[in-house]
Amino acid sequence: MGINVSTIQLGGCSGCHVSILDIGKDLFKGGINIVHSYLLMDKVTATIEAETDILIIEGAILTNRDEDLVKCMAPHAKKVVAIGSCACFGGIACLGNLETPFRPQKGDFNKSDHKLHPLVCSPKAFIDVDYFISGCPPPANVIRDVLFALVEGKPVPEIAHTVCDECDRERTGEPPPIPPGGKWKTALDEAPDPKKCFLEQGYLCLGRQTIGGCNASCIKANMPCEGCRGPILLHRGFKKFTDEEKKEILRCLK
Amino acid sequence: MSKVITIDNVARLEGHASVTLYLDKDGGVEKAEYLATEPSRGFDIIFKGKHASEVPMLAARICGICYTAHNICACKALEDAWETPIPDSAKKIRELLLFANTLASHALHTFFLAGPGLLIEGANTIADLQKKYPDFPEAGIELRMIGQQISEIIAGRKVHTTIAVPGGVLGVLEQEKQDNIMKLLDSASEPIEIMEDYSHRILSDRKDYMLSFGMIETHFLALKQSKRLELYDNPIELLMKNGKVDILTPTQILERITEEKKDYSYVRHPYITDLGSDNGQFRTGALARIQEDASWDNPTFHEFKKIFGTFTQSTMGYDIARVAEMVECIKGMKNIIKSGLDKDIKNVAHQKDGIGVAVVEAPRGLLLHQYEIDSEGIVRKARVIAPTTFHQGSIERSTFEAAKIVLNGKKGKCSDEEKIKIEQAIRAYDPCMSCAGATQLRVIKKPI
Repeated sequence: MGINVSTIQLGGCSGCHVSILDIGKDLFKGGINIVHSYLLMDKVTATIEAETDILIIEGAILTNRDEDLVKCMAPHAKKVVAIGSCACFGGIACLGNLETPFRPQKGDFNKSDHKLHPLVCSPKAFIDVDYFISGCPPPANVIRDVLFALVEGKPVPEIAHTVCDECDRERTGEPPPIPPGGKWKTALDEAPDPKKCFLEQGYLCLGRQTIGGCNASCIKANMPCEGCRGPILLHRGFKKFTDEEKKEILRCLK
Repeated sequence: MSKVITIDNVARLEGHASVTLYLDKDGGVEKAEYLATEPSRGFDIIFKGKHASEVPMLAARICGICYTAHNICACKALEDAWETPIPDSAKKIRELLLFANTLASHALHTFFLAGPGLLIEGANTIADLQKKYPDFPEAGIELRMIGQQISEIIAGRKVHTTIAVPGGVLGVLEQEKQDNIMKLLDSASEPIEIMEDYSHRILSDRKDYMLSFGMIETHFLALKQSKRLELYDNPIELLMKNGKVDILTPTQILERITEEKKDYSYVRHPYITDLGSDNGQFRTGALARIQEDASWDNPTFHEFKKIFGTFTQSTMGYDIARVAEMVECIKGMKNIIKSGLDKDIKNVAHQKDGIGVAVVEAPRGLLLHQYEIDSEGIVRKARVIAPTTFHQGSIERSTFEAAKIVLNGKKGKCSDEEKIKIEQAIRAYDPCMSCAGATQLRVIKKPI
């Protein structure tokens, strides 16, 4: 009984798997059978052919093996869920593309099956992803809501509000001023006032643009929003991304 | 050489790694290779050209398990470069975070990753464990959640806490939050008892296995310990095989080690240069910490010392040392909160050019960050050496020893069950491959 879930990790930090575990005891009780997860079990207990209903993907495509793995696993699954900003947009892993392309030096290990991918990118370039749960990592309650909606066959909840909507700091209502010379305060300056809006105090906070759902938890701990869940304009809630990004990645790879 | 056995994608560790065993024609193990198959995400390149104020936030993303240590270590390195002191309460909050993270990481490892194979030989999932000992996984989940919830109370989130910034921390820990943490810590007494019972059971049931499996001889490197678990700030001790002790600074560590490039692994193998690659292997982490003058007071610690002695090379001792540390983490957090915290948590940091280097004890061992910053505050060079990087050579040697024991008399045959048994020696180190390859691929050859 229940629904079979497989999780795989590509180039990432395991943080999203940790966030899945943060769901806690519910994860092991509520009709979810984890049939393949290298972090939780040895793979002899489950092979790739195991019947997978939901495939959860963490991380960005970093090696050729990653590309093969998603192409091999995704067709077996009824629904594919990308969790974490690396799997959704490329995230931190993709920052490595900015400076120089990945080019191993002479004498470095770079075997064929683990060869560095020409472009670090989100797995959505190669497979169809049904749901995107962004965040670095996504909060456990958001993952739980999506997972249990899929288990119970209910519609997956959509998030169409920003972190700013969830924040309860005092605001004057005026558009936040841009500090003189564009010099925002940084982490080096004094600690911000815990009650007032960060932007009005001169700290750069990305809450106005960022997808909500995290209950503005960082802001409540007096930390400006880092925008880890990605911009709200790119997608609303967990709906599909546009095909434009996919085309762009494939164009770069040519 | 007649046969090659591959253990592809070792399960139940963080990140990707494989093992290749080379057998001779009689089935004896000749050589073992530990392959880090996860390439670097190039954090040295990511940091380069960024303003230093962004570095601690990005550094947390190196690892999804020991993010707190990376976040705090980056802050310490920047404070070293800028000669910025931090307020006393900020230091206490950072220690609280390190304790909470260590508790969660050790609980995850002890119950989910290493636990099944330690309690039941050859078992490989938490489900196997649940059938025989139903209360253990429950206690593990509970203990882990306590650690994660304390991180959430302090930093607002459970994973990738980035509350530490150069000059201190951002959030004040109000009385209400302190009370909540104390409540959580009080609720930990029951699962921690189950945990201690668990380590006692392993030690009494499988004493010989724990003493001898995967044993190798190395030096140990860790922060000097005291009556409590020291994770944040203390002199670094290098405990040699012969019992001699050297005190090192973080810069001296960089001067004394060489990172050897291997053509089969993405991660280099560090060793102490003047002792050579065979004799110069060293280990960090729980097993090193418990031997660096630790004088803790808990039953598991005393049992560890009774069974393993004052100086031990037993690899499986890691798993027991972790249980002793979890008890100390809870005690340490209670003591910090009892000692009182005030609202002075942040100094203004003044950027200037310089090189900053710092270490903290991450759950898996000593973590080192080094940054070269120009007068505008832009990072020019960055280097991260994670505990699992230090462990590469030791893991390989332990795998070799373990394979010799497991494959003895098997005439070159290696079934899946035997592979799982060999993997247990790797898991003792709790390797985190995403940390190990943080900056390895394009690392600067000489210390900057």
